[in-house]
Amino acid sequence: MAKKEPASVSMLVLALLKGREMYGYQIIEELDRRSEHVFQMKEGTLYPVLHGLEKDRLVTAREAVTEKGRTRRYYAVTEKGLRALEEKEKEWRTFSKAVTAILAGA
Amino acid sequence: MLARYKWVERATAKIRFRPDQEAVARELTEHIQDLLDHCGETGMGEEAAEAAALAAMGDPEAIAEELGRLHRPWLGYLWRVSQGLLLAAIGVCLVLCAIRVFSSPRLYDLPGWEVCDRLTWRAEAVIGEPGEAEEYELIPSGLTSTGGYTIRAERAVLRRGGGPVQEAPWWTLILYLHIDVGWRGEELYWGPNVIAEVRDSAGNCYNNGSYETNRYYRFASSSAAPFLGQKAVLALDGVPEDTAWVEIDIGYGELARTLHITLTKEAGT
Repeated sequence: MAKKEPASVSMLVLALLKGREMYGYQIIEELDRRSEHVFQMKEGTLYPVLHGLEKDRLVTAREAVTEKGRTRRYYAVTEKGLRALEEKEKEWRTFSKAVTAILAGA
Repeated sequence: MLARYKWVERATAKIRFRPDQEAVARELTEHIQDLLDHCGETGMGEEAAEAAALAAMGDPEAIAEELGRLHRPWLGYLWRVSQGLLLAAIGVCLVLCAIRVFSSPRLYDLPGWEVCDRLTWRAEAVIGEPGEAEEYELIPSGLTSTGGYTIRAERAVLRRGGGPVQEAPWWTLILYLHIDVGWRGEELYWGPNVIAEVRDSAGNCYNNGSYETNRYYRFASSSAAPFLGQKAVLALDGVPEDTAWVEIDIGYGELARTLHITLTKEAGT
């Protein structure tokens, strides 16, 4: 039986956006910092993930111009996104528990 | 072109919807700029920083595939198509109006009255030649609506002489009428079956071109143009010199309406 991928970049992105809205570069930095440099990705690949989440209405985006004149596109998680994140977390914990149990018996 | 812009161009190449493509390009460019700023802080040279930033961004072709798949906003396309159709519809309307307006024959200049287009020889027959005949202007006022047309008197001239049955005094009242035809520009068919009856303040009735009585009316009308309207002339032969008003019963696809034209003498006449 095919299992859903328990952990994905989209789940991590939703988790990062849970606390506050961020733009792409911030998300990459935060992912790097919070995973203690374990999760590193080609940074351009973040955008298809973000735009996919936006299309599925799991995140919303807004553009803002900074004091330095830079245009930032901020992403924030939606209610639907929070519910999806909750589901993903459950799946991940089940998966993690199963892997831990197998490794414990090895 | 700088390598970073080429990278962005390649990464957004598969987004067909232009507004989305521009927005994504802006977002990716800003991200690369953040990376360049970071590399600059570490003391890297400009070229090395750009190479490092683009390497960190990844394969633009792979990203382009994903972005192209995601950015297919049918609503956006629908909006664009509807805008195009609206513009096309406006263009067609303008062209049609222009054709209606400019395809009309040139202005026909009559003394003191510009007819918007062809008033045929019949108009000249109605109006006649002023020559040395005694004539003076009256100030007409009157307006009525029928069949979607609004008809008003623009000018009135009283002229002496020239009738087929000569009696003294013999006066002809020439009424210049404007017919508002709206934007459609459909011509009011101005014929005997439209003019039901014509009478004056003295109780005289006028018939259509019959010489059995001394009093009859003659008419001619131009074709119509949208907004410019239609012109008509109506000559009443045998009117009393002191006619205070005339009434024309006009019926066009409905019960006849009466165009009551009050005639006032101009000061000094």
